[in-house]
Amino acid sequence: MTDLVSARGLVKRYDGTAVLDNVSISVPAGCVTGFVGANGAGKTTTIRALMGLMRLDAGDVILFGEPFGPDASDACARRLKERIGIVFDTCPFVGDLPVKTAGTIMRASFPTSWKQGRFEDYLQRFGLEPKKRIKDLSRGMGMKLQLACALAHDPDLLILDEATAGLDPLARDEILDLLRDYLADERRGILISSHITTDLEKIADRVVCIDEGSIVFDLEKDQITDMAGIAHCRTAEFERVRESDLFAPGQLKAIRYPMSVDVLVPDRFAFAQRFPHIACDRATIDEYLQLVLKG
Amino acid sequence: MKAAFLCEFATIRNILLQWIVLYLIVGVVVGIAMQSSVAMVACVTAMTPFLTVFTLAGYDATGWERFRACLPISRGAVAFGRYAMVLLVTVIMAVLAIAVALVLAQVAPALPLEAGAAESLRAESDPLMLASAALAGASIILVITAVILPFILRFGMTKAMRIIPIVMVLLFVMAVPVLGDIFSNMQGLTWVNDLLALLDDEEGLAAGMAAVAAVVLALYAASCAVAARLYRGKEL
Repeated sequence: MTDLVSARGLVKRYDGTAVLDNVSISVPAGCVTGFVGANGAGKTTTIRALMGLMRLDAGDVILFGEPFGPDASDACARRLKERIGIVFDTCPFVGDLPVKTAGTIMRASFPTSWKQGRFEDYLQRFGLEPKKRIKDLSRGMGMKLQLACALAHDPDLLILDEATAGLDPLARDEILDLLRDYLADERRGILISSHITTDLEKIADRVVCIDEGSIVFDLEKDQITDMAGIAHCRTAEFERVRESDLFAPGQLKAIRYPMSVDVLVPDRFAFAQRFPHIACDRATIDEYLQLVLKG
Repeated sequence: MKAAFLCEFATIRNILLQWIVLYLIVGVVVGIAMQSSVAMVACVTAMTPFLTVFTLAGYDATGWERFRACLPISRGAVAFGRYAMVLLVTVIMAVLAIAVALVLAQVAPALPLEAGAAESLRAESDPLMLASAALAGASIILVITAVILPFILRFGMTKAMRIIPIVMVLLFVMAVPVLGDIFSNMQGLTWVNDLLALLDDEEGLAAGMAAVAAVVLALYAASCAVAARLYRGKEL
């Protein structure tokens, strides 16, 4: 599959401290890449780097097959950004403006690709009153306005930075349906950073985790939610598991509780064959993340 | 460039309508209080560039600036759009102030004003004189805008407010000896009198206004080029 965006070895330092340390991430066409990590882990900084909003100390960003960064020519930047729709965690439009003016701004910015009819359809679908001031919108409605703006210019790549954060479960499902519809065209792709990993379980094809500026894992979602498991061991069982050859040295991730130990198992089927008496459940992205980061 | 300008215009359009209403009221009040339409036009026009600069800079302090940087609009175009918008709003408000002055001149005799005040407002109705007042007010503030706007675009409003006073003091300290040398090398101040004499007739005043406008616009354009360069390097 062709990568819509691909970043390799991104490094960014502030005062000698690396906020991005050799970060690599990609979004292939037809794919949803989920981007997870704790607050301050580097998700938004990575997205800023992908959008050429800051200079990097090292690394390359390739957008739609072309090298891209802050030094890209105006024509190149315009051509590539025309193909991207972006949604941030807070509604960025000036609060004093009415909702419909956000559309006017976007139409001016995307003169050839903007579809006013589609924008108005989204406003209606999301229950956004065109004359309502943006500052009077709830966080969730602000997100929906951003999504309407992002989708109405028909982008090839959608980047969502904590976009579902302010939405109630019903609204989140509605947005996820919308994103599935958007991906019906397999030439498109989505990069979605989110704390709400249940959303990623529903929609992501791949999950990338960042912690303290470094990529911790980059896996197919099925490797986490289908293959991986959480083994709930008693202390004696844990010792047996630890001494087995199922885990490479230093690779075992476990969290100790007073009465048990949870162990992250990369292949729960192989584990079940080897230790049939130890309960091993499917892992959620949340549990996987917790064990990888804290185990 | 067009996209950036339209974006900026869409952002400020609603406020511009509010300003027009506000300026109408302020213009009438200031004109009557100062008993001088010329002073009113100069004051009202001079208010505008800063009002526009600070309003737009305030908007940038929200997430809008980063979001705009993700749109297919170059940084240079953003800087150009900002300068063009400040200039456009200044021109609109200058025209509005002149219109208020002309209306005041017509209705002043009918208003319950002192005879001197009404006569003063009625007398100051020469469009060229009012335009020169607008140009004078706008020119001074646009030159200051040309100094501060690159810093505001590059560093943002908060940080720029810490840097600009230092820059202003440095500019003043450097300018005083230079201007002192220039004036001391001139034969008295007779040239000032000659210059003022040139402005006495309409053609001279129009030529003087054109010269001032050209100098101010040249400075403004140079500042825009510097701002575009500085803004390109800003991390968002």
